[in-house]
Order: sequence, then C-alpha cells, then structure tokens
Amino acid sequence: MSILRALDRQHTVVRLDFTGTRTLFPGGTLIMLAYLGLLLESHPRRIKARCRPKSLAAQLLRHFGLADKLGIDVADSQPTDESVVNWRYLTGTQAEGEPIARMLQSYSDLASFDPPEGLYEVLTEALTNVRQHAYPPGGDVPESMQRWWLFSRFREPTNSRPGNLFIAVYDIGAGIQTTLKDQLQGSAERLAQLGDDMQSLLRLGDSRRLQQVLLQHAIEHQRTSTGLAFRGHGLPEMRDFVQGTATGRLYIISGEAQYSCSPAQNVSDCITCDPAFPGTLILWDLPFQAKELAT
Amino acid sequence: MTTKLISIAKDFSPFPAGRYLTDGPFPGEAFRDQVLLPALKAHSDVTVDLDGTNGYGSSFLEEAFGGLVRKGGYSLADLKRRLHIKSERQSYEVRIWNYIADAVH
Repeated sequence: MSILRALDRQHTVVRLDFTGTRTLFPGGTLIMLAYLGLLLESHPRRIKARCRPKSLAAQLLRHFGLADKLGIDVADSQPTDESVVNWRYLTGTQAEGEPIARMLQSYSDLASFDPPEGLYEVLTEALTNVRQHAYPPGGDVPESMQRWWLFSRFREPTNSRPGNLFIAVYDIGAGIQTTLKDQLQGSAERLAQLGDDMQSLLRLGDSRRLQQVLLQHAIEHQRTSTGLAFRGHGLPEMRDFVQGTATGRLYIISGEAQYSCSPAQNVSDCITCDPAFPGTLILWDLPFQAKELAT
Repeated sequence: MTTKLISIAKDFSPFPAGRYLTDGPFPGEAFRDQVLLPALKAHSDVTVDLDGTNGYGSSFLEEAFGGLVRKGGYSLADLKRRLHIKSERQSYEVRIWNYIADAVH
C-alpha cells in the first residue's frame, strides 16, 4: 500500500522501516527527503520511522532535520559518520544566492579544495529555472510545495582516490520536456525553426522518443542560436560548465528521459527512463585533486 | 558630464541571482530598475563593477543588461558610448554585450 493511500485513512499512522537499510544513494535519498518533508508538512504526526540505533538512516534523518518529526530518538541518531556529516541540505522556493554562496564558501575554506569557476552561476540558474518553469501557474502543485531541494556532499581526496563534490538539485514540477513542448506548440515561429524530425515527433504527441529528443534539445541548444525561449540559457550553461572541468559529469533526469555528459565523452548520452521520473533531478559530479596535487 | 561607478556587490547585493522580481531577493530586474536605469538617467557615463560577488547566472545578466534595451529603450550605440563593464572575468563583458545585442534584434 502506498504511503498516500495509507494516509488517506483517518487516524492511520504510517511507520517507515529503515532497519534493513544499509546504503543510501544520494540522488534517491534527496528525492525521498523531498517527499518525506512534504508529507510531514501535510500530515503532521502521522508518519513515524523505525531505524537501528546510530544507523546511517537515523543519522541522516537527524542531520536533515526530520528525525524529531518522525519520532526518532535523539541519542540514537546523532550524526557522526563521515558519510552523513559531509552532506549539506538546502531547500527553498526562490532563487536565493546567499545560501548557495555560503555553502560554496564553506567548501572554499577547506584547505584542499577550490570550487570550480562558474559553479555559483549554474546552481543559481538551476534554482531560477525551478522558479520560472517547473511549476507553471494553475498547475497541480500547491504554492507551498513549489520547492527546490539541494543536496551536496564533499569528499576529501586521499592518496588512493581523488576528492569529489557531488551536488544535486531536485524539483517535483512539470519536467523540462513538458515546459519545452508547451512553449514550442504555442509558437508557430519556434516550431518552424525546428528540424523536420522533431516536428514529426511533436505531431505524434507523447512518446518516449519525443521525451528524449526534447530533453536533449533543451540542454544542447542555446536560446541565442535557436530563438527558443525555453529554460533560458541555464541548461546549456550547465552542460558547458561541466565540459569546462577536467573530469566532471552532469546528469539530468526529467520525465521519461535521462541525459548525461562529461568532458571525457565526445558525445552526450540521452536514454529513456522507465517508469517516468517525477519532476527534474540535476546532478553534478565533480572529482578533483587536492590543491597541492593540482598545482 | 558626470560619471557613476556602480559596484554590484556593494550597491546592490553580493548574492545576485534570478531574472524577475518574483524569482528571489536580488534578481536582474531589480538591479536594472533600482540601480542601473536610475544611474543611466542621471549620469552620462556609467561603469558597472562586477567583481566581489560569487558570480552571475545568465538570467540575471540578460535581464539586467538586455533589459536596458527592452525595458529602458536604450540603443546599442548609446549603451556602447555610455556603459562600461569592469570585471576580472572578461567573459562577463562579452556575454553582457551579446545579451544587449540580442535584445536589439
């Protein structure tokens, strides 16, 4: 039974069992935390969690401020594990630069790491995109839930492996392809600028292939060269930013398609995603060498 | 002839982000309407210093500077004469003038 169906029953308390959880993968954990946070707001005191004492799940839920609402014991959930305390979590509804700047500054203060130039720009553009496009007026998502969630994890380099900065931004909005498709179909001028293949796909309506093509188009075509006013310049700049790093990687998952690219790849990769992904998840994986090794 | 130096970090915010007023606390539209357009109206030459912030997303720059053409009614030639960009990152200056040129077309 789904959580929502259980919560529809009055007085039912849903208990989430994390006792068997051994590993929490970043992208999935961000999505879980996003939905859990929303459900705890809409159904206060109706969701509880069971975790092994001092487990990673208990520590993570404490670290991200959900443990008390889920009834998890304070003493059994203090975040101490390196894999937990290295995570940062931000959420909001607006394109706010200050929390992003403070997060990046905290990484800059570390002896080993210089954030790559342009990171603040692509992150604030990601939040701007959420604000402007993810939740269209009159949509299904209530205003209080029109949020973005940001997760970051910093891992120091060691002698045996490079360091790594992982950042994910998630929203539960309409998805990139839906936004782009609506804008394309609303403008004959923009439609005329597309190639025959995409025009044919658009005429066919919803299809996995169309989802793939639209996502790739949104990321790889600059508004200035195409005249398309979809998600601004932000998505192509996210790709350009990663291509400008030595070893970074960008993943964008939206609707029924997943895009990835890295400087090591000569071509980007866009595959279908089944089942459809709820909203849009953008992930930057930025490996780096320690400053003293890099210079 | 009067000149005005605007530091975005000091005169507006060290945390610029977003395009429209509804996007957040320090978007490009607010910088353009509250700081840049009044300066262009009052002074013959305006220099915008971009240093001192964490950076600028394209939405901020496009709305702040491309918007001078769309909303302020300035021509590219007039802005070329009167608006000066100062930045340690030369790419910003190139992008700003591209946004202004695109807004003209």
